[in-house]
Amino acid sequence: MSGQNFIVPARSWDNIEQIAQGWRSRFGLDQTPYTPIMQMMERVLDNTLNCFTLVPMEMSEMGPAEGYTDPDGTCIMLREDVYRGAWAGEVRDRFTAAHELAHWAIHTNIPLARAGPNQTVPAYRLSEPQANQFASELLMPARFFTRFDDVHSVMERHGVGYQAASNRLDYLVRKGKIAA
Amino acid sequence: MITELGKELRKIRIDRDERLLDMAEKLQKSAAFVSAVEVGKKTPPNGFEDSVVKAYGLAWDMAEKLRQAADRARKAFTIEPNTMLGRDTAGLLARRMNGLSEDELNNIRDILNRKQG
Repeated sequence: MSGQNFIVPARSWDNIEQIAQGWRSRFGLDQTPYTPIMQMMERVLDNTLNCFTLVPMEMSEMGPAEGYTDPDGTCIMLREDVYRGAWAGEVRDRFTAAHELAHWAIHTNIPLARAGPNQTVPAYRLSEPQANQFASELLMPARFFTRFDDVHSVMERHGVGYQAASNRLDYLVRKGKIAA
Repeated sequence: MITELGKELRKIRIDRDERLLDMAEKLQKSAAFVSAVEVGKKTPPNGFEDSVVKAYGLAWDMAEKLRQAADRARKAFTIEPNTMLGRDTAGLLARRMNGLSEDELNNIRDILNRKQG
């Protein structure tokens, strides 16, 4: 999974928020704005808990794809440069890693269907928007936002890129989720 | 999915609280390569286990375990005998290896193990 949109069981964005925050809680991150995504994935979920195998892949094998999560949940693949970048704190690579973890958390061992070419499917039933929402929730929990935030303060606090921070701010403002 | 060799490599890493990235740097390989060896997608190249033993200063028993796991991950071996008798023996071994009984293989292994000591 990744890149290709699959039709998956519907999830509300509130449900995805709950799941992602549940994950943060279990990692003791309730009061911590910066999500150590690679620590979570490699050191804890792979090495300690054996939930999946994190597999860096050569660029020649992955081509333009940056990550891939096996639908049976056995492994999460990250392209070598993405794997290294995410460990180095590169914002885009961190988001990619969180996006793959999202697929693992909510899209493994479930029925996947391909959308037909002329089929209009709402975002809450598509794998890619769901995974992006999960990644945003995991990396940028609403609880840390205030009305004084701008894109740059969000980027700084959560270790995310401009686009991700901007999308997140827009979403939280639109939903009225930013504390006064 | 993880091979016996993969398990040994992961153990070395986890005991030292290292990432795949750190191990790859010590072995001067890509993280993708080390990972591919661990999951059995790639055969460990000649000398791979020795570079691990050297990089981590592994004790004799750990090193032996690692060598055995590396050998078990290999389907083909390269032998370079430097005498005629050595070549004759290597050729015979290559041709007859899979026809030998377990007892015969054990006898050969015992001879080779004795020499090692």
